[in-house]
Amino acid sequence: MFKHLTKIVSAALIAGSFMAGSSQATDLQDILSEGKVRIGVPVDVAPFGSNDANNNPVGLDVDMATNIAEALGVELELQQITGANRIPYLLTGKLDIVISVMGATPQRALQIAFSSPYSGISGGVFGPKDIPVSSADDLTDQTIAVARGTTQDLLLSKLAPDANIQRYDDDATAAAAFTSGQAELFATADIVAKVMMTQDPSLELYPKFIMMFNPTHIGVRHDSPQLLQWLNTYVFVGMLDGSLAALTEKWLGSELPDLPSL
Amino acid sequence: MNYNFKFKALAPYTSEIIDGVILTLQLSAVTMLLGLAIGLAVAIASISPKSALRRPARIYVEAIRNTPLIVQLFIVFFGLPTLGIKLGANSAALIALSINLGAYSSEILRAGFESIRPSQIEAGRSLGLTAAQTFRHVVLFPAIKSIYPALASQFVLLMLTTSIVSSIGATELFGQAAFIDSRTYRSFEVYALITLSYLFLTLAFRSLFSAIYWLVFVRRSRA
Repeated sequence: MFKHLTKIVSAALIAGSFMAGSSQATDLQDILSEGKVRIGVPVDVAPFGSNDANNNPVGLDVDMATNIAEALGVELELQQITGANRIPYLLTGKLDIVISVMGATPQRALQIAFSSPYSGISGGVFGPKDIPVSSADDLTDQTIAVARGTTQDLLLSKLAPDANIQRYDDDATAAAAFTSGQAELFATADIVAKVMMTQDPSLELYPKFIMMFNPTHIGVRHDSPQLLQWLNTYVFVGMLDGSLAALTEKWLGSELPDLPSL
Repeated sequence: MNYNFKFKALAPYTSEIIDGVILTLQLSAVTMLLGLAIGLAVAIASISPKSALRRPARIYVEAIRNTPLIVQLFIVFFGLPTLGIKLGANSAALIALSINLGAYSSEILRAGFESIRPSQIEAGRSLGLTAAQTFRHVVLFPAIKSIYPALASQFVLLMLTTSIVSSIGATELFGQAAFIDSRTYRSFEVYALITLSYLFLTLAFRSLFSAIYWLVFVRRSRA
């Protein structure tokens, strides 16, 4: 019985990894010859990627995806993703490019390749004024909601390993935990806190402390070096001609700081 | 095939996986007991001749069985704090799962009760058994025996369903797997490992339920 079981399980695993493998390796030439590029954008991080009143994806990352497909001269196939599944989507070959408010870390760079930064956000911990926290060291037993696996999660876990961190599947669920009172603080991006306060003025999401400025990068698989080089050229030119600064101005309402190339 | 399996990357997270298995077991075991208790009470109410008992029982069963578990979970976790009832993720999970299992197990138990022919109950009463004794020996025991496999399946299904509660931040096995995935990015390895863990837990629960069946029903009827 168990012998058969191990056989079945390993057969399923091999079949699974074969399927995952077969659709990979789409570099620049494959995209051009297929006439289609598959780009993942966030579904839950306004103003980078969310749905408007008519349920159409809108945001800075959505504009980036549209502009990139246009510059490539191919059809855009947009896929909405969350912070937790963006890297698996890319690695299993379901997407060619991920533009999803993604910060670069050496650990992530072991899995995927990052382009030069095209915009940026500040990550921090936000909450009501009367909670006496102004640095990670001030955290005691306050509950902090965060989307699992995001830069905020990784950084907060490192800065305050003993803090009471509640991890949720995505930013929207973590935000729900804060708005329903299940969590006292919310670790997220400054722009998310700002958008939430604009939508609901009764919410108190003031910055308690900022953990870091995160430049955002486009992600591709390591097996698409030509695509990566093309994206870097695209970002380089966009930085010089001011089109990326205009995009940041349009969606974030702030100036794009000078960002080093990668 | 260009995916390299690196199960070694999971080694530093052994204690998280063990914690996850323990919480999954605790959640499942307590929910089974609570769900069975709720199910028994509701099943008795729904075969009661009094409509004041029967009607609320039917409303409960229909409301729970016709709505998704994740919605019930979100109502308990995100909705109740608005009314001033604030529960932690694990307690909210336990309550939502028990309420859910209560509705499903009550339907299974009701089917068992209804399989007992009225003539048997009349026979029990005419042999001088009290109503409570008749219920216990003539209705409850044979009813549970006949629906035991269905109930055991429902319990195993519940154990697998506990994986949903990671969405409210509970740190059971699936929650821990998602956490490890977010730290190592070895999705395939993590989910392959917990697939085997769930499979092992299912087989363990099945063996346990078979053993209970043998002890309670087979051995007893032989003696």
